Amino acid sequence: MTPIPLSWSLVLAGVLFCIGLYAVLARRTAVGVLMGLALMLNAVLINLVAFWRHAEHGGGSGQILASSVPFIVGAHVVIGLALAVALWRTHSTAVLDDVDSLEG
Amino acid sequence: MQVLFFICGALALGAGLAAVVQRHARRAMWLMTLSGLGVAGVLLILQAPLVAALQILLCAAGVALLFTDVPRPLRGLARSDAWGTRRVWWAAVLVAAALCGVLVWAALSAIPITGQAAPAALVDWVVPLALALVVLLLAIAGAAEIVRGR
Repeated sequence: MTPIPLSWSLVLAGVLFCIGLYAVLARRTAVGVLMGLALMLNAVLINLVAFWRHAEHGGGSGQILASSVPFIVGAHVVIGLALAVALWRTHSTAVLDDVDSLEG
Repeated sequence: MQVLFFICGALALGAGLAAVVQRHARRAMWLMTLSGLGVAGVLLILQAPLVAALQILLCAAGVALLFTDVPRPLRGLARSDAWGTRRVWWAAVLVAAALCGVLVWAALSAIPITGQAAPAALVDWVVPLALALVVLLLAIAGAAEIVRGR
């Protein structure tokens, strides 16, 4: 059993999640929002691993489940950056507020 | 071990916060990579080496991207005057602070943890992991198609 109390990991994950939330709400560009989302996903990862570590019969399944999160982070960063590049090419702007039309 | 946890946690939080408030895009990306390394350290301390290794791989990919010649559209994004915060950034701070308070209160309250017995065989998870790999591959292919701009 790890000597780190569960509450410490949860507090760390909670604060990291909120920093990411601030970035998603306050940043104007797509890349800034992506960074916030990445921080939030990292917080989720810490939570998953912390609960797995402190579960009564943890086994190995929790770590395997948590290892799928980096794949999701990678996919979201790749797609997000590609969309940001496409946005820059078509609208010559990086500000999300300027792209508010659903028209193609 | 607890000291290491504090160091890695402070690195993850400090670098993450600095990246979010940073006005220079390239520096922000470096700070994000640093934050990712802090998270990897926390995961190692929680004795999850597989997940920590994947996290380090992600950070390495980010560093490699920063060292390569950044494509022109991304350079344009990085130099954009719009790399800043909205005027109502204070509302975002309020929302984040309120959620943070709730999460910290929940974390410090007495939460009974009841685990369930789970089979610890990798063979049970090989299909979901393979699916996750396929999703990542499709995402990369889709991103390449989007950037190609057809």
